[in-house]
Amino acid sequence: MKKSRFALYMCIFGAAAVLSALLGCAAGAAQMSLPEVIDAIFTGSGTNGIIVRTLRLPRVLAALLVGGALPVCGCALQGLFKNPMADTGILGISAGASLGVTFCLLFCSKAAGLISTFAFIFGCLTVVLIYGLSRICRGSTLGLILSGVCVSAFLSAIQNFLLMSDNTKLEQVYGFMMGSLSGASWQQLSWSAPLIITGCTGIMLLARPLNLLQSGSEQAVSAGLNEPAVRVALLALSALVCSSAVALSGTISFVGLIIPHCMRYLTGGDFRRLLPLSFVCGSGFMVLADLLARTVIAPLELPIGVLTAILGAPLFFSLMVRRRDGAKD
Amino acid sequence: MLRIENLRFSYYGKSIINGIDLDIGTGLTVLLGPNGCGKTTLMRLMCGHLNPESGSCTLDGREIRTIPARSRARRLAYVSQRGYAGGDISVRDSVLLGRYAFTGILRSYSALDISAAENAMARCGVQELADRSVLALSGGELQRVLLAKALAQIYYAPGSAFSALLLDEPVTGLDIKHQLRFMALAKEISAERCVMAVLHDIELAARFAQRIIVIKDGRIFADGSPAEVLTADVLKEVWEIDGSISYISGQPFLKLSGDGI
Repeated sequence: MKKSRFALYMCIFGAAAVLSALLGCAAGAAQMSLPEVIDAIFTGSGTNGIIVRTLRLPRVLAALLVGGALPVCGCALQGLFKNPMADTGILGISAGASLGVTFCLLFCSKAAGLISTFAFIFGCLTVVLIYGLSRICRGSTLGLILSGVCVSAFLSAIQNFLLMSDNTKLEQVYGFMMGSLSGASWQQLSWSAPLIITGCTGIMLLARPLNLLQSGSEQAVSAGLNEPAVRVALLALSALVCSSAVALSGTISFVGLIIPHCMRYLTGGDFRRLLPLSFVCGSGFMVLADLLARTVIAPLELPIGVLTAILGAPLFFSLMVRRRDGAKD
Repeated sequence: MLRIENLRFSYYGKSIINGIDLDIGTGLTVLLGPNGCGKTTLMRLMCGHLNPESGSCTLDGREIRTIPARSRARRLAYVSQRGYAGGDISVRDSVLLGRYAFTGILRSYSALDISAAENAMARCGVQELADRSVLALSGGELQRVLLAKALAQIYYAPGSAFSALLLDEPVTGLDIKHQLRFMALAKEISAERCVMAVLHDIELAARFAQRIIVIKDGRIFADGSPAEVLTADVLKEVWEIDGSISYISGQPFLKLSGDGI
């Protein structure tokens, strides 16, 4: 794909993300016009200012970040394992981070820093566990994915067991498990945002090694790639980004899988373009999905994880069918 | 110069390479031998992808496995069997990936990298494919792109140092026209560097190689010019076929007695 077309897509998706963010800030019980929203964001005066700055803006920013983070992680893992099915959900990293958050909420506190730390530690431990298990299966990609599915199911079972043992906080944890941005706060953002931005930047800097990995491990090493270091770095960064996103919004499925696939149709497989485009498109998508989740059955709110799964599953299936029709690989 | 000394390698207790000594310099060297004789293993040992049980592979006196990956890649390129050119990227981007060792995390391709890639593409005749996706290439085109990528990798070897290109069965699956074109190209680029190729086609090897090394049971069975190596006795001993290489107007062809077996 030509650079100019990439720039055009970036501009289109970037503008769409900004527009969705403004819409996200405008919609709700107290409706506002776009100029009012912009005024509220920048001056913060009056009731509108309080509503936007304390309630809607952190939520929209969380949606932008989580929406960008999950596809970047998914895209990196798909490239790392050369498998279009790889994703933080399927590999169990989300389940690990989610268990960490559940553990923290049940037995420790609701402090934002602590939630992020637990999510990251549990996310990393899950990566180590899955990687270790897959080595027993001779390190094959299939072995890794099956290990992920196994570990994911196991961790979810532990999570449910923990919930049963202390059902006083059931509602709070359950809402989190289904994926929701309703709990987004400046405090949680101040922890998660730097980690997500750092992690995504790190992954994007590894776009060229990811491209090289697609030519096969031996070829990549022959071309000068330090493969073990790149693999560890990508896994660690994915764990960091995914667990920070989980700490912010709970587990949101399919976004990390669908967005990179859609972007591949537009840009081809060059990770230097695929990663930034997935981030920008995912951001806009998540804000719109969140907007839909909180307006479709208002005044009640649909957990965003439920909405993305309802939208994502059939979309993913149709992509899979199309891929089989015209697949070369 | 590539030097191999007393190289030994076993896999799951089975001895694959049984003490090989070789010096390989500039020019086109072809490795021949029956299936499973250890040709690919030897190549992978030479690239540092496998650790030998004993012995050494050195590049200008330096043990290849101890050379950092990027420095090694600038002087030694390898195209494996059934090579991939990458994911859904353009031919130009794929060839440019050959210059990975010259870039950094924050340093993109320099003008020299781009010129090396363009030169390599021109040399391998894939310039007109530059904007096409590597997934849309035919077998012959893909092999030429892989060669261009490997050539770009060592195009400007630092300080005009000795560089080597190792090709594992590069013409397998290609039609006769593309086989001949590919080997002619390999011979042409071997004027300035070492090109070592694993082949199965004895006639093709006799036609293009300057030096032929025949491997049998992990040992060097014969080593020399095509005329010296490809004798009736060698064909009988190594491949168990009755035949000989004859030369008509200087062109070699394989003449078999009856069915040859």
